[in-house]
Amino acid sequence: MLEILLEIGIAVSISLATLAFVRCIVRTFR
Amino acid sequence: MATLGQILTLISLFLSVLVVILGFSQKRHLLQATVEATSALFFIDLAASFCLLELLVTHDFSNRYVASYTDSSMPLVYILTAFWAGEKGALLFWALVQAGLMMLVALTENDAIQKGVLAIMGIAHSFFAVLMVFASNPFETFSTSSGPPDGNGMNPLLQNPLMAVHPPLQLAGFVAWSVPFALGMSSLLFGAVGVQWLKVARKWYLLAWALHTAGLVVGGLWAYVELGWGGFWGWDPVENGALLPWLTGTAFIHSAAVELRTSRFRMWNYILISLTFILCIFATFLTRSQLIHSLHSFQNSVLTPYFLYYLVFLTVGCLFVLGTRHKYLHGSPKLGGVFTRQGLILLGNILFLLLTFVVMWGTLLPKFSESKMFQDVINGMVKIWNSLNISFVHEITEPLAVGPDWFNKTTAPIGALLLLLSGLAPLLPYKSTIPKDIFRKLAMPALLSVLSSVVTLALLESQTPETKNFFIRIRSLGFLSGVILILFANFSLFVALIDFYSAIRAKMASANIGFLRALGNVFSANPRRFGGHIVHMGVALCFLAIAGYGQRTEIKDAVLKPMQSVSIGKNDLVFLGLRSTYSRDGYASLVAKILVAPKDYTDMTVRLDEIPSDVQIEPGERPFLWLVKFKQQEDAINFFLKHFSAVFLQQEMVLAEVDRKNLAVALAPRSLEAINLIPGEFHRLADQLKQVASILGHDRISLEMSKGDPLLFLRFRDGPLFQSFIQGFSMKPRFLGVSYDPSEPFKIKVIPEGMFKVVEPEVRAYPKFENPTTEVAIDVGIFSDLYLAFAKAPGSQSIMLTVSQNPFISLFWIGSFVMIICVVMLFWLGIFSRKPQVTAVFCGEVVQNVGKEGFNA
Repeated sequence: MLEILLEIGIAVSISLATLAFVRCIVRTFR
Repeated sequence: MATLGQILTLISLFLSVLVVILGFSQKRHLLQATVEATSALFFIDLAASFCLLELLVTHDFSNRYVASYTDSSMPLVYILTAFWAGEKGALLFWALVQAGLMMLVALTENDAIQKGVLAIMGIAHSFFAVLMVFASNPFETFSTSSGPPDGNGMNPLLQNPLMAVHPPLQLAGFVAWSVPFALGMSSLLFGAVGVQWLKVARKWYLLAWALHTAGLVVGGLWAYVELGWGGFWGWDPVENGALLPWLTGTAFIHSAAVELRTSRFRMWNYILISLTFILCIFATFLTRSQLIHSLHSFQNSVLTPYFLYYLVFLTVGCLFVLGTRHKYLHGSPKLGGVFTRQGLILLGNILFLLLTFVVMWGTLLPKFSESKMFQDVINGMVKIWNSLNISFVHEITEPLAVGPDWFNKTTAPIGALLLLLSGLAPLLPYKSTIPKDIFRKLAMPALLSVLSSVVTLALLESQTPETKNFFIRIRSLGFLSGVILILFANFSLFVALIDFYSAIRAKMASANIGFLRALGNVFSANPRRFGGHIVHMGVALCFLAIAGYGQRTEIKDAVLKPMQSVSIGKNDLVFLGLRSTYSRDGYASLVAKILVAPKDYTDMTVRLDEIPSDVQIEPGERPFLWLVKFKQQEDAINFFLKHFSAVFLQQEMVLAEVDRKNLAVALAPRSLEAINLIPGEFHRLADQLKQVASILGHDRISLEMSKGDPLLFLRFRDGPLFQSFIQGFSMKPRFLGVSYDPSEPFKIKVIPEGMFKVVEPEVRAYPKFENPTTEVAIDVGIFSDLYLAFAKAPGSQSIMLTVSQNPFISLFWIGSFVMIICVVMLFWLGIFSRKPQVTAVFCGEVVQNVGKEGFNA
């Protein structure tokens, strides 16, 4: 159970980081 | 998962460098990009942390870190805390907290404030990311194999709930100082150096102080309950290292309050916050460098040069920034006299720095004095001194070291002065000199503190069994300093209480409201003043505890056989015996049962069902409370054997075989693991039975030990004796101790259960660690703690008991809790309060318009 939660945590964190990084790129080259 | 972790740490390094590059930019849209990069950084660190936790909980021993700090038998909670228990995991934790704080700054402060701040915090993050990527990666795997079948496990000393929270609090405290440091530096680099940055920084330095204090206090509590030497601060080099930034940080909080009020101490505050942050890194360096031998050190760390370079970089960087901006840091108003609040705060600051120097000197002396040059300088001074013929001093030939006594003696007077200042300063105005009514203001707290000190001393005397007269004891320096600390602590306490009380009374009268509502109103109307009072009250309670602790009574390594006792304070401590157990958490415990019986106990009213009605009960000789007199010797012996089985054997042994026909039994230990882990444990059990057999006579009971298995064979002469022995295994024990002396054949001495407390210190043995750990037993009292720890003495049944009566120690934990909670509340109020108007000050473009005048805003 804990492993599944941790894996979901990893996936969500990486997704949010990707989103933030894309926004960072967009704002940098705006 | 390990590969993903390694990639994530690499991305973390890239993103932190990106934050630094973008964060130092002057363009507004790049500032917004910095915030996004900070979010990405935080989520990447979070993902990396989840990866490490997953490796830990799945017992992936192909990962070096997991194999080094966990094993498959550890409880889940300690597997999770292994995240920060080792050096590599602590680096990732540090990076995560740093990124989390950067994210929090980005969320709670406006764009203009984030400028430069995120970049400077990004530098701190980059350092830890560099360490993870190039030197000490928590995701490193075994290169040639898939790892060991099981891990090494965690050091048993760290398997304690307090140790689960001490490292994260301490690390978070260190990291949190980076926020006010970054705000200060960014104000120097990009904005105006007025009080604006302090207004923003206030909640952050309060958070850092609260976390740092909580880290130190929880560490002290862990040392108190786990290490078994009876104290909470051992002046260990790494403890001292963590104390240094706390001292400078506390000095900074006070002088920042002065700058916020009077715009004074501007340069001083920049120096203090820089010093605090540098000392946080220095404290971490001390833990990793093995510069000084310490309990806390990480073994074989490769990080020493990295930390050294980082320390040099930070020091040079701070000096450079302060040097280039120093001309803008003058022009503050004059001090207004020493006897003003700011004058006393300055004096307090000097004392805090003196304390920092003293602690640092004592900590680093073993290293300094290794150097030939240091020895030559000291010996040169010694020669000059000796040539003056004042007194003879020996030259030094080997490294010097100082112990806890030296630290206590040197820090106590400075601490006492600081305590006095904490009481005096709130009575004085900030700028003007001594007010006319100062004596009236002083009189009440001074009078109350003298009266309450008399009460405190009387309480202290009642907790310490000193036979010497008070007026003789006061001549000793230790006792006198305790009395002075009590007096100053009470003074500080009453200054705060009286101010609170006056304000509440005025509020109750003016608003016609109740006490509690008035208290809430008074606090929320001026949280800075009354928050300060509450923290000072907490400090005063801590000092009362220190004064009390200084008068503790201690008995060290008293060798006791079962039923022997020692006296401490008003109690007799009776060693009832040992028992061993095995825990599902993978360790065996040897438990010493110690009865705490008041010396003056005389009550004999209780009568138990187990005692036959036709026997007499009389008060027994200490430690036995009852003497049970029988009419027949055989009845006495049967009674003794039944209760001996119930009290001493039942918990540790089982009847493996019962032969009713031949009146024989085979006994096996309850826990084979305990027998295997605790050296000599089976012999202890056998010796217990041998003693009984020799007391009752070998013609009544004969004992044999099995050659191969851990089994004991007993044969009884007659049926009633055999029955009594068997019965004892199935009955609930009603006594704590039972004894039979053949010279008094009709009498059995017993200690009934349930009349007094029994405390049980332990020694734990772990399968993967050679040294057993001490688990102390503390009987917590309102006015004093009874503190017990033991070690096995030579001889299978004996122990060496260390016991101390620690007066007022609870006040230290209460005082610390009060301080921390109050400061957390002030941080909380700071987060949700109206934001100070600082946009124009921090924004690069506006500063250029304001010009040099802007720096003196």
